[in-house]
Amino acid sequence: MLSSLRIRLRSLFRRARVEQELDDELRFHMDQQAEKYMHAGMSREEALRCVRLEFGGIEQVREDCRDALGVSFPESLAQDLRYGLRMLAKSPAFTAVIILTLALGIGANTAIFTLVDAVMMRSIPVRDPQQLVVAQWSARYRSCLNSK
Amino acid sequence: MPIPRIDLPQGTLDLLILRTLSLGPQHGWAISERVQQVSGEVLRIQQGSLYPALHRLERRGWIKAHWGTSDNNRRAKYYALTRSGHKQLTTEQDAWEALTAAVAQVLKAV
Repeated sequence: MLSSLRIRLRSLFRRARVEQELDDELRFHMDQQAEKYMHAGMSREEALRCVRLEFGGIEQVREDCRDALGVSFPESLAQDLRYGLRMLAKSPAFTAVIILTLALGIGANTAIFTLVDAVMMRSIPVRDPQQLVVAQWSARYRSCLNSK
Repeated sequence: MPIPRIDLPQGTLDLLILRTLSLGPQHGWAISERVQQVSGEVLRIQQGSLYPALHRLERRGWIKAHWGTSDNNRRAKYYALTRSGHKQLTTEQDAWEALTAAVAQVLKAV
């Protein structure tokens, strides 16, 4: 837990440093692999070419590492937001329906809550409302005619 | 004759990395070399999955990274197993053994 937070914060605030380290790490691996091929008898160019082929898209590897580190979180969030906005702009009718639905929903809720708040939750605007009492009086009526 | 290579089944990469690091701190390249050698060249870890896995394990707190000097005097990033990494290795190893035993049993059943 703690290590995850530390790594995340570090990759967020010391971005350049983390990127540099990632580069150094991958480069070390490639050099090491090339050296191994050269020991096996390949020429330098041949070895480097092989390593590049094996590594595949180095940018992809880097991207996967960033994902694993959790570096890309703010970036992917921005990307998702932009994507969402683009999609909304693409279908205006759908967007209008959504906005209307949300507006009606929020509006109705607000209206009902305002009412409930005024009626049930606010204290009565008098001094010492807890001292108010309800006095009720009723007279009992007994019919003389029916009694035996 | 080329040696047939087997693709790593899902989830075994972490186990292999943890196991290799339990022998002592190593850098990424040495980890992949060792797995390849010990498995008789059958298992080969793609760099494309090795480094993301290492960073993921580091984030989980199972391994710890530090920069050191390699055999050929170059700066290299070394990974070492942490205490929770040791625990995780035991868990995963037990799970793996249980799984392979169970699968073997099913395959042998007539």
